[in-house]
Amino acid sequence: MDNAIKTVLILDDEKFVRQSFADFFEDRLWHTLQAESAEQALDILETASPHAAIVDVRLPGMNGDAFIRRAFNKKPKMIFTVCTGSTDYILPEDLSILPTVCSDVFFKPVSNMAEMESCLLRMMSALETTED
Amino acid sequence: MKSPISLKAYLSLHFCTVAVLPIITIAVLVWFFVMPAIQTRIGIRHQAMARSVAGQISAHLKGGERQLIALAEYLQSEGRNPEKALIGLLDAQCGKGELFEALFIADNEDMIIQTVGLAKERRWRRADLMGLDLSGRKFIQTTRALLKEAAWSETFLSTVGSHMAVALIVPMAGGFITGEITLENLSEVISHLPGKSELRTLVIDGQGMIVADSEKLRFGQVFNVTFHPAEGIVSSGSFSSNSFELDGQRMLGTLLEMDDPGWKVLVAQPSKNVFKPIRDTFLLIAIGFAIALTLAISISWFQASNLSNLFQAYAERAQSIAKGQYTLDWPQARAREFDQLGQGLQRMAQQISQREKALVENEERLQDLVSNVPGVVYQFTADPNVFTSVVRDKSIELLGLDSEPEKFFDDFVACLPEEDQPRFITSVKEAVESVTPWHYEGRFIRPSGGEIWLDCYSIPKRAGDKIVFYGILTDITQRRELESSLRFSQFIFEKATIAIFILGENGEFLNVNEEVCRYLGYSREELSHMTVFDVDTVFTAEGWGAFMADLRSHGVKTIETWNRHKNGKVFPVQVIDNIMTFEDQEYHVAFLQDISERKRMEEALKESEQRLELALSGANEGIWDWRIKEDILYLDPRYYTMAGYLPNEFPCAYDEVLKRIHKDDLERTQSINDRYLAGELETFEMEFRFLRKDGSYMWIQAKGKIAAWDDHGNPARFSGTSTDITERKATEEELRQLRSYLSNIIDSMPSILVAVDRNGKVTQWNNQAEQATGMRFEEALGQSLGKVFPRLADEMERIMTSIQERRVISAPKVSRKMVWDTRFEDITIFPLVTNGVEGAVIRVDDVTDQVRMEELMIQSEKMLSVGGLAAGMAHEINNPLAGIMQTAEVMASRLGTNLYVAANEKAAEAAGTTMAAIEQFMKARDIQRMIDTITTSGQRVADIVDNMLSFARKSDAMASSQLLTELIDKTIELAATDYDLKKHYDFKLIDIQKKYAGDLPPVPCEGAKIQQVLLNIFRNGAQAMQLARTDNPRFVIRTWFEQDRGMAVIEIEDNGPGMEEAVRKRVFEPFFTNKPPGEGTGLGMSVSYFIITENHSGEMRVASRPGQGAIFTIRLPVKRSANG
Repeated sequence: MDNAIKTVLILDDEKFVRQSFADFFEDRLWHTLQAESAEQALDILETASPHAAIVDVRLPGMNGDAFIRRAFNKKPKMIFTVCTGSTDYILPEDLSILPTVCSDVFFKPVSNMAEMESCLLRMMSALETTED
Repeated sequence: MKSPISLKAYLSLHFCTVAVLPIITIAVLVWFFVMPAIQTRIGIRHQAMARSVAGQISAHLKGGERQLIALAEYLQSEGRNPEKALIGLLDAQCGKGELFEALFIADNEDMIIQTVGLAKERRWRRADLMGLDLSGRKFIQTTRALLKEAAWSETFLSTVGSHMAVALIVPMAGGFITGEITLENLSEVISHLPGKSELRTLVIDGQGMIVADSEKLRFGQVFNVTFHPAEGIVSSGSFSSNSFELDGQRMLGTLLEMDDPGWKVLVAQPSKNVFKPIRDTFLLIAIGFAIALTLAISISWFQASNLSNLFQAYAERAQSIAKGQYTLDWPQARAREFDQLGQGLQRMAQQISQREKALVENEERLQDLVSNVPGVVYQFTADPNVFTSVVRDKSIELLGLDSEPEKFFDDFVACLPEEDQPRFITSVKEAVESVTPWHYEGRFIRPSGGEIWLDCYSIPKRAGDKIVFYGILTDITQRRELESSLRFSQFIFEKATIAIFILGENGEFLNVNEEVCRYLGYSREELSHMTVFDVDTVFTAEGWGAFMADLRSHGVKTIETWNRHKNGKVFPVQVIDNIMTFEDQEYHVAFLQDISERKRMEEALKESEQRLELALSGANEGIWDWRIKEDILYLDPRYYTMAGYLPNEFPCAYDEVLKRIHKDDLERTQSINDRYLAGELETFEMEFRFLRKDGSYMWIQAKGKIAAWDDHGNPARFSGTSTDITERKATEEELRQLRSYLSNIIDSMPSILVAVDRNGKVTQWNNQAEQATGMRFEEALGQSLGKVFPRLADEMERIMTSIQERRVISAPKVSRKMVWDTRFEDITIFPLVTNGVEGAVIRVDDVTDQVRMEELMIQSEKMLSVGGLAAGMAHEINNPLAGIMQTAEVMASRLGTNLYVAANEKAAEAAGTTMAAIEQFMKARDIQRMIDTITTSGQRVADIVDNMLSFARKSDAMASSQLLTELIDKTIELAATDYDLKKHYDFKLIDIQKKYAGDLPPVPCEGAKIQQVLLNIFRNGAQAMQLARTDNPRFVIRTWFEQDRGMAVIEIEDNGPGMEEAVRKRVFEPFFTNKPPGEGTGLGMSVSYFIITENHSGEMRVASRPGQGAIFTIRLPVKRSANG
């Protein structure tokens, strides 16, 4: 597994939530990129190539699901995990079958963010293994 | 004259003639016109055929000619060498499929064959033929001599194949070429020509040899038939038709001459075949005609015989008429003329018959008239005085005189009484002399004895010079007797002791008798000018019409009225008015009697009756009087009539009365009777049923008293009254039934009904009240309400208010504590104000179930509203909550040393301190606990939101069949581990008793949800028992199946502290908790309740009392309901 520093894109319109994720991941030596809307996140992806993204679903403008669909086309190796405050959210089927989308959805408040990190790392290593 | 033939034969003959004529005509026409035409047409057809055959053969032969000429030209131009190639060339043009059988080339000089072409199968003979000299063949010579281009030979026997053949010779430079064609070959050609099978085609050469035959039989033979050519020149192209014989068969043929090579073509057909269709047609027509003829003859025969029969029938009937038989059965005629003939004859017969009948009838009538005249009819010629005719039968019957007409006069006179004889003879003489009608009336003594009165009458009529008297003798004895009796009747009428009036239409007296004159004091003369109204004081002229009409409708009427005597005295009379019809005349006859005396007596009787009537008071009361010792019973008539009997209809005796008393009442009646008479009873009064005449029973009330005592002080006379009280009894019975009906209604009410008077004493008490208090109505009646129904004691004040203010007072849902339960009752007080009876009715209804239902509904509504709210706000709360909790987590990790974070060390160093120092500070200031508080509190908020969301209705719950006992077991395991960790309370210390019924069916439900519910109950129970430090804590878990409701039931009982009613009631309410603040969300039980009732259509209950544990009961339907 590549031990180089990884980058995670955090997409959430709630500033404090976003910041709490950023703080957590930075402490764990990740590079973090933040976007408060899907459109902004897509702009970021024009110039940067993060390894993973934490995506909120209810967003102003484009929603999280649509973002993942677009982003996957651009970055087929990027890992996505959904984190939402809507307790009745179910991952759409077209997304759940993508190899880069984490099948576990995290509901806010995330009581154990370490679990989210390990989920991302697991996905990334699994993807690398299949490529080898 | 020759005897005529029968109609039948005549008609048949004519029919036949008519049928045969057309047949003959048709036959002649066919023979003379159709036959020749057919023959000519066939000739033309044959000619066309022959031309076609000739053309074909010409073309065929010409083809051969051209072929050979072409070959000759080729050989001339090419030379004959090499020899081998030449032979090959020739060979190729011989044999099958080719015209020629063999080709020879010979030179001119010696006519030796130099080269031979042969058909394949004959090539082995080539050597034989080479060098053959052809000079013997005459036609070759001829051809050469003529120097023709090509020539055809006569028929000859071929040297090549021993066949009949013809040859074609074509000269060429220094020689010639000749080709042989077998006749067989030619025949082959024409046999393939088109044509009808029966057509036979022959080709004949100039010598009369048959060259070709379509039947391939006769080629080579000489055509030895004498064939007469048709008139005219037989030139090229000409033809002739004729009939001839060929092989013994008659043929019709046409011969045509061909241009070249001088051959003829014969097309023939057997004559038989030619005329066959016509012959067949003729045969068929002949048969048809024969059948038609036969039929025609039969029909005509049959028709003619019918007709002849008909004529016969008419002739016979005409003869019958002549014999006097008129009623005849006329034959059914189909033709109008016959019908008319029949009808005419019938009419004739009828008229003859009628006339004859009329004649006979007239005669009979006359005879009848004369013989039935009630008298002796006679004819008497005046001079000489002789009876010319007397109806003899009548004479014997009437006069007893049987005399000849000549002697009749003398015999008649002899029978007259002697004293009358001169008067009789004189009257006769006078009549004869004066020719006037004669009349005589007198006695006649029959020779056998017996006197009769005779009336003789005759009228004269002059007949020529004679005068004839026609007369009749009539017996008038009876009339004379009648006259005498009439006089007697008149006498009786006059002298009758009853007044008789004969009245006119307007009440005038037409006739009265002497008694009338005596009655009224008027003379007959005076009365004849008077009317009824002059003597009657009651009748008026105005009312007379109505009276008469009434009288007419009845015929007889008896009336009482008042008449006035001439002296002015008015007296009562009874009049019997009659309408009598005598000799079609209506008479009004009145018989009148003075009834003054009778009237007086009637008045007296009436008065006495009225007095009796007055004596008996009341309408339905009879009097009885009993002389005990003598056993003489008097019953007054009313006693009988009120029971429907006629007075004295049954004997007036004590036994007879007893006989009619209803058997159920008899003993009692007698006992009362005996006891009263024995002095045991003070008064005599009893009621009993008495048999009426119509078979029904009436109720009688008898009252009596001892009226007299004998010397020994014993009752002697016992009398009293009997009253009909049937109606009163019926009313009483009706009332009793109504009362019982009402009390039944009241008893069948599901409510407790208690009626009290204004003093609070019970007056009515229904079944429900009996059950509620255990006290029977009879016991409670008249008791004070508070005493017999203690729980209503508090209501007394309100009852009084209701009575006083006359209004309904309701107290809904009054609670009542029971041992295990609280019941709710609606108490309603209705004031009773009818007919002066003051009081109230208290109605108590148990509405516990209704109240419970309402509570549950409110509960559900509350939960649903919470669910709706939660769904809307969950997202909004979760986001800020994430901000708080996630930040707190990061904060904890940045301030702690548990986890190594490089940036922490770096930041600490920059701040001039170490992480160890910071941790120390944190510990000292309890920062970690504070962060934990944030996290824990946040987690509680999240849990609350999550629980609230459970209240939202979910229709797509994932249900599957679950065994409830398995779910319970799993939940117990889960509870054990859960509590171990968090509460430091050992769940295993709790004694768990499982009492599962074996027949519990699987239940469709969401396993996880049911587990959540069960866990909740276990947790709460365990927690409660822990807090209360219950000794030997235990759960008893029971399951069973409620068959009738289709419900699986789980019951969980603990022996914990239980709960107050107030707590129990609210235990399923959202946000209700009895745990110390900060423990639990207050939603657990309400969520459980919601899961069971809303999501699973089940029931959840709790029963509990403080100190006695709690029982949770869950019921789940075994069948899934439609809305899931």
